Parts: sequence; C-alpha cells; structure tokens
Amino acid sequence: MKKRTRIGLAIVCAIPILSPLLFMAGNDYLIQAATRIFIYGILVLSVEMCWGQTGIFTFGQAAFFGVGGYFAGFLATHENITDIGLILLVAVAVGILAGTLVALFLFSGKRVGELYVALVTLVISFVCEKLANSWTFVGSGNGIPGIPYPTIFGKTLSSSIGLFFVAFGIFALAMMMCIGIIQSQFGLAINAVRDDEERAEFFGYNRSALQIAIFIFSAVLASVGGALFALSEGFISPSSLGLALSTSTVLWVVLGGKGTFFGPLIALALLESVNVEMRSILPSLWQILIGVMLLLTMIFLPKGLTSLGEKSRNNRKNREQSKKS
Amino acid sequence: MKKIMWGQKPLMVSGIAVGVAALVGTLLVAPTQASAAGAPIKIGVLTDMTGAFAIVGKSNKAVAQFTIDEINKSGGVMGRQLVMDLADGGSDPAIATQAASRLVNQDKVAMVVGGVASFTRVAVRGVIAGRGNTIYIWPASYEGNECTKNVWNTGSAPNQQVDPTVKYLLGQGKKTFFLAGSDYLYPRNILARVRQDVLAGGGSIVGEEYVPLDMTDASNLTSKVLASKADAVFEVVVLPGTAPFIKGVVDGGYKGTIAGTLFDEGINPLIGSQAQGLIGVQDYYGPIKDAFSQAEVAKFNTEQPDAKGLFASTFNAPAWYRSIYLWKAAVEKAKSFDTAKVNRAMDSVSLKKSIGGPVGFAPGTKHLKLSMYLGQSNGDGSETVLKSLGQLPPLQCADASN
Repeated sequence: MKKRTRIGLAIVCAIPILSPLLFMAGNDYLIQAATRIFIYGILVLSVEMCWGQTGIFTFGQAAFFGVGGYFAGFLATHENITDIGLILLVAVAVGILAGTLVALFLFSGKRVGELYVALVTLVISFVCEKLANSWTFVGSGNGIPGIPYPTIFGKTLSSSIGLFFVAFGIFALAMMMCIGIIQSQFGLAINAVRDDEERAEFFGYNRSALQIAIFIFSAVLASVGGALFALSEGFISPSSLGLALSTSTVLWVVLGGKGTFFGPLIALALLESVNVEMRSILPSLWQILIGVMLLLTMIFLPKGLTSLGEKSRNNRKNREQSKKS
Repeated sequence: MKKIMWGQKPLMVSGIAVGVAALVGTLLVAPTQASAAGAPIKIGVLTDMTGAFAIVGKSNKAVAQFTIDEINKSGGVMGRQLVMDLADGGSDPAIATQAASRLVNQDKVAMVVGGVASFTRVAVRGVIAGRGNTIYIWPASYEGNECTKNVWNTGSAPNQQVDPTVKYLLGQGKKTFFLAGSDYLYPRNILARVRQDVLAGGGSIVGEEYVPLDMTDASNLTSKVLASKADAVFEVVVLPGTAPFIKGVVDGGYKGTIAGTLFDEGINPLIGSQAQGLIGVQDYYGPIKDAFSQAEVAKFNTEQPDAKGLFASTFNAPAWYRSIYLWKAAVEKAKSFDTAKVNRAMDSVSLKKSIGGPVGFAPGTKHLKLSMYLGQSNGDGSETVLKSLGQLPPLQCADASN
C-alpha cells in the first residue's frame, strides 16, 4: 500500500470517529443517526463491490441484509444468544450460504445479462419481504421486536456510543477489506470482468468463479450489516428485506457515483441525515424530490455527484483549448 | 494508485470529504433547544404521513393540531403554551424509530403521542418510554397487553370492542362463526378473544384463516368463508385487504352477518355499498347523541378543512383528542412536567367531557374506562348507532405498577 493511501485511510478512519464525538456528545439521536449511516454504509459497500466493481447489477441486496437481521433477531430473542461476536459469525455463515445459493444459480452457467441479474435479485428481495410478512414463525407483519442489547465479552452493550463504535469498527473493517480487494490482482480481474466479460474470459480468467466469489462476499457484508441493524435498533421487520431498502441502496450508489467507494457513502450520509427532517417538513414532496434528483443525476451526471469535479475540470480544459485555437 | 476512489482524485481528499459530509449531515439537523421556563412545551406527534397509513396520518396530524390549538386558546398547560413537534413514521418501523429518537433525544419533547400500527408501537416504545424515559401515549384500538412502564393506552382494549359485539351476535341467534384476519399481532389477538367469547356463549367456530398483511386478492379467503356457511363472520382483515374481502363475500351471496373491529365512517366509504349491515363497536360514531362531541367535531371540520370528514374512530381520532387532554390533566394534577410525577398522576386522571363521552384511566390498568357504542354500517358509508353501551372497563394489566 502506498504511503499516500495509508495517510488517506488514517484520515478516513479518524474524521468520522472524532467529528461525531465532538458534536454529538450527549445527543443520542445524532449518535444513533451516525450509527445507522455506518450500518447502511456496509450495505452500500456490498452493492458497490457487486455493481460498481464487478458489473453485477444487484437490485435486491436488502434481502441479504434482512436475512442477516432476522437471524440475529431470532438468536437473541428465541435462543437468548446475545454475544455480538457469535451473532456476527452466524451472520457471516448465513451470508455465505444465502450468497452461494443465489450466486450459483446466477453465474455458474452461461453469461447472463445485467438486467437479468437485476430482475432476479429484485424478485428475491420482493419474495423475502412477502414471506416475512406472512410467516407467523418470524412474527409476520410485526417482525421481531424487543431484541435485547448485544453483549461483548459478557458485558451488555447498552449505550448508543458503544453501539456506534461497534458499527463504525465493522464498517471500517469492511471498507479496508473492499479497498484491499480492489487494489489486489484479484481486484484487477474483477474490474476486467466488469469492463468486458467476454474479453476477460478470453484472457483465461474464470469469469464465473470471480463473479460468484464477489457475490458471496457482498452477501456476507450485507448480512453482517443487517445483523448489526437488528442489534442496534432492537427490532427487525419485513421492510428491512424489501424493495424500499433495496431501491434506496441502488439510489445512493447511483447518486454518489457507481465505481467509486466514497461517492455512494457521501450520498448515503447526506440523504439519511436529512431524511427524518424532510419527511416531517415535506411529507408528500420529499420522495418525489429524491426521484427528481435521481433522474437529473442520471441524465446530466451519469457517473454520479462525484464526477462533478472531473466534469468541471474537463470543461475548463475544453475552454482553454478552444481559446488557444 | 488506481482510479477506484474518485476517478482521478487522491484517496486523502476523498477521506476528508466523507468526514465533512458526515459532519455537515449531522449538523444540518437542528441544534438542541433547552426548555427554559415559560418557553412553549413540545408535544411529540408521531404518525405516518407517508406510506400505507398516510390517510390515518393526515387525520392524526389534524386532530393533534386541533387539540393543541384548543388547549393553547384556553391558557395552555400550567401557563405554558404547547407546540406540535411532528415526526413522520413512514408506515415503516425502521423510519419510525429514527423519528421517535429525534423527538425524544434531539427535540426533548415533554411526551410523545402516536404510532398507527402495532408494529410501530413495539418498535418505538423502547426508544421513547424505555431508553428515552419519556411518557408515551399509544392512541389506538389495539390487541391489548401493552403494560410497559411510561406507556399509556388511550384506545380501546379487545374486551371493550369484542365482548359486546359477540354478545350482540349471539343474541341475534348466530351460532356458527368464521374468523378471518390479517396475519399479525392485532388480528390474531382480537380473534383469540372472539373465539373465547363465542365458545363461552355456546357458539362454535367453523373456520379461522389468516392472510398476509398486504393481501389484495381475497378470492381464496372469500370462497372459504362462503363454503363454511357460517352464521356470522368476524373479520379483522386490515387495509388494503378489507374492501376486496368484504365485497367478495357480500357479492358472493353471503347471507349471514359480518362483524369486525374496523368499521365506521372512516373505512366504510372504501368498502362501498357492500358496507350495508356491517356490525361493530367503537368509542365514537358520527351520530352519537352527545352535544359536546357534536359541537367539537363540527368545530374540527371548520378549523381543519384539509381533514374534513376524517374525524373517525378507526383513524383513532377520538383517542388522539383525549390523549393530549388526559396528559394535560395529569401534568396539572402533578404540578410538574417530570416523567415520574406525571406517570403517577396519570394512573387515575379522567375527563368529564371528551369526544365520544366521558373517559378515565382505570387505576392500575394503564387503560381507559371508555364509553362504547354498538353500530351498524350503511351502504352510503354512514353509521347507525344501535345502542349506547355506557362506560366499559378495560380488562388489562391488572397488576401494572406503572
């Protein structure tokens, strides 16, 4: 890893840890909001790894998120297992299992189109939400409320700030793993698959194995995020598996800029932090506004908000060149 | 370094940007205001302004605003004016917990009233009444057994709605019952009570079915009901399934009586002419003979023109109205806004006048003695009051110790 990258990583880690502490001390709402942003951040990373880096357009990532959450909720309420390490391990296992099932179905055979993948994953998310809504064993429409606080080395983790650090720690770990993967040879290979599946195969890469591996990795990230969500919020409900969350995640990635890690995270942080206020101020308009924003971004900034800088640089360059000539 | 982060920008810049974004995001949320003496008191109003229950939210918001305005005009609470702090639950518990946290932890409201569906209540009560140590008033007719500390129920309990309905049906000579409901806590608990009442009264259950919360195609359930040839159907199929289900059963030539907990002027228009003859018990209907209720609802319709006609029991309107007044009475009795003191006072407060009739907490139960009415729906959406049942006690939280 280059020195510059290391410094960058250190700053990435330090700022979000320090800034909330300075500004949120004593305000549980802000701490909880920040916690949620980091938890959804893990989900965003999982979509970015699939879609932005490997070209797998997963439109139903919330399904894995929710399944992780339901397992965590079930363990904590039915089996009285509250140890966070154990629950997260189970979430990893669940992610591997669920991810493998879907990935084998999607990628083990011939190449399939991007839209096909999007539709299948979307349907999976839809079916999971329907199933959770009608399955009495997992609480039907109520989901699993009253999930107790997690324990860490036998101690109950009941403060907002404690949960914040856990969420941030796991987010940072996930982020470093993603960056690590992308900067490795393996990362080059999956980017090659994204850019041209056929050519990557022609060069001898096992396209299907690469896609399956990344899809499973993403499912694990999402599942761990969901388990964290259930533990920190104290409940999990069918909406955490469903279309609304799946779509929101894709929206954050599109708005922020597919193919970059920070753009989607910034879009998530900005939208989530004003979400509660805007819903109360403009209940009927807010959702429409988000839709309009998405449309405008797709038309004028297809690479997302993060391409704004690049675009203005190019414009300037063009102007200078036209002046010269 | 490869172009994975920002295209061409170095990673360091991006790191700073993420931090700044997180900061800006959190700072955009308004700063906390300390509640100084004499400053207005914030009332947390949590309802669903968006999503499946938006129509209920519209009514709830208007009723809260109406009640708060009325209290302010008559001098406020202990000389302090009230101000509504509205938060949207989005018909989704994940959004509602966030909204509830804002009300309690950021805005430091004196109390929270609200929640539409039970799954919202069970998700937010920990945030508000538990960790938040704030009074939470749950203003909905519901499935019962909410006895959590700092939580107060101002809607009807199952026995107040179900017992008189089943008694009426049995009195009409109905012997066989079919139970149908949406698959979640509320319908299951209500129908458990129905089953108990029917069996105790000598009737029998010929079928019991649950459908998913978001069901809209009721044909399967409808044919089961028709095939059962039950004398009466007790249904708790919630929106959006209510209308297709009842239309299906009525149009299928069903000859018996359909009863339920969710019929009144709010829901009937959605069912249409097939609403004719539906039986139920509520804490308020438009035509009840109570001068105070008539005058207040007329005033509501003038002051809140956007929500005209939305003052309905199934939208929890009477419960929202009395919630804020009951809290006011408790604060004045306790002479304090302190949660523990208000909590103690709440246990025995009552209102001589309220929309729907007099109400008061039955000490030790966290629920209200409520004036209830037996009603029959008409095809034009209106209701006919068959009988005024007087004040009924709640059978809840018998040994609740606040």
